[in-house]
Amino acid sequence: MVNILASSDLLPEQRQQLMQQLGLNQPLWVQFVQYVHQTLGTFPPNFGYSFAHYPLTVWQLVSAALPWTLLLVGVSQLISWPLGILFGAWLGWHRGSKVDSLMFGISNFMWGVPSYWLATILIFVFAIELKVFPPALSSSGLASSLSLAEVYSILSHSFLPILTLVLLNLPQHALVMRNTMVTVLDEDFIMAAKARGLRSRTLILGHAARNALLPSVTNLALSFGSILSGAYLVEIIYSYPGMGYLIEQSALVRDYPVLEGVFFFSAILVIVANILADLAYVFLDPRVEF
Amino acid sequence: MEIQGFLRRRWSDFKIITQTTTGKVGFGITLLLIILAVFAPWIAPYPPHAITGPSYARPSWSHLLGTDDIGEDLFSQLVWASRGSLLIGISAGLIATIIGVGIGLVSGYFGGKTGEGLMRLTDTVLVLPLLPLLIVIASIFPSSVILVISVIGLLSWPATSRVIRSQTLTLRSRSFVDACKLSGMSDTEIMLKVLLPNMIPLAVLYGVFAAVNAVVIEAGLDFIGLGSINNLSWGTMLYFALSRNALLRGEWWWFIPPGALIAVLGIGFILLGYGVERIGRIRS
Repeated sequence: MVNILASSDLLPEQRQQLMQQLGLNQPLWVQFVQYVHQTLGTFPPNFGYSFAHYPLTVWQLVSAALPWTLLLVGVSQLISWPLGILFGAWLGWHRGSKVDSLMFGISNFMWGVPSYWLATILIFVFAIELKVFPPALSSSGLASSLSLAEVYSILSHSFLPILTLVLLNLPQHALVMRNTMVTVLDEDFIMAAKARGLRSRTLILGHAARNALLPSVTNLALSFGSILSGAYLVEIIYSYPGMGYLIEQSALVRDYPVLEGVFFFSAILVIVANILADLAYVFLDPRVEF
Repeated sequence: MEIQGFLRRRWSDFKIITQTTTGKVGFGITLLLIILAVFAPWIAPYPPHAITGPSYARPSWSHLLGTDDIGEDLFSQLVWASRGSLLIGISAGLIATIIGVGIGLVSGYFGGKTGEGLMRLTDTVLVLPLLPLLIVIASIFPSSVILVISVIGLLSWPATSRVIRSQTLTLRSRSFVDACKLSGMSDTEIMLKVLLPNMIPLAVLYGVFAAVNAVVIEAGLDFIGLGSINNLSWGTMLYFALSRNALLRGEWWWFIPPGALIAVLGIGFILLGYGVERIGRIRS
């Protein structure tokens, strides 16, 4: 940052003043203490001031971007996880069938499909060739009023990013569920349930899937970091104003406080997802207690 | 005799891998990609950065995938770029596997406070989101492929170490480990000579996932323009395709192949990984 300031066209006095304001003329450890103080000492913690949008604090920028990321990741997981679970349970029951081996191939292929590449193709097909959806969210479309037109605009702009993540994550959730289902279906209590003559629907959903659900929850929480990474790249491609877009824009102008802030909150998001998964265990598995 | 025995064991491993369709496909794809990377100068019709035609040419027999904005052959670039992507995947996967196996073995074998401490370290690394961290690092340090490989490798091991740890916990209680102890083998010897060989197939499977992840994430960094633009990779090809407006001009032959090859590399590696993991299941 100091180098950037030194190479810019500022007058020496202006530079001194700016460095004073940003605290860059202090020794590193003083800067760090100030950072921690700013972070913990104020409420809400402001995490320092952005270099690029000076009067705004990191907190203001992050808190504006966070809801968008939560919307994108939340909606795409709410769609892809339950569908993946149901589909995976079905595949586990019909293991060895043609659909099963086909899905095995597709899921593993999706593992290597870059989210940003899939996003590019969807933009090409739906926004440029067919012109059904807008290619990217313009920042001018972000008025705060929630009129009907506004909601429609948000939905139509979020559709492609959400579709990208659903297409990527659904096969992976299905594969994990399918593999757990296969293990559970080999267990004795399933044999006992079959012997009792339960309908296969009750057997799959009520007995086998319920037990296979736990590892799927764990896996969702553990892979949340990579889901988030994929979502950030998708945000960047669609210029979707979430955390991923914010961190990319900040990286381009070397806005270090914002970069650190976004990274910090991304880690917090992953931790929160893991805590939620632990809490979900209590509801899903009556044997688990605090 | 030593070498002959080694070769015979590897040959039987190879037969196990290629017994299943998935193993055959995985082995075939991986082999093809390695051939592509090693023999790039002979396979690619032109040098990657030579101006060999008009700009923005459509695909034709002389330029299979057309040319870019300054008339460089895109098919040749695609072939040459396989080197970068394979190198990144394999080296990051190796780093992650070595660390993951090491930490998993030690924490599973010794257990107690050491094991618990190492597992808490694993949990900490597990929650670090890779892409934001790489973006932060890319904006602080000058772009370098080695740095990106090391960061991805140093952060992708937790999955491996968890699996290896639970595997070690099961194996440690088996009687042959006790027999080795009684025969006077040290802990290090037991870990390296007795436990490690049993872990390799499983470690390969998880290493493969780390490698695929590394290729995708590194290409992503290149794609958003935060990687090293001078380094030819499938990610930089995508970056140039988009920054030269291939999307708006409808030049799908420019932006589809690089991403498709990343995905093909992914499935090739993963299917080969499943094949290798079968060796472990069949032997035990």
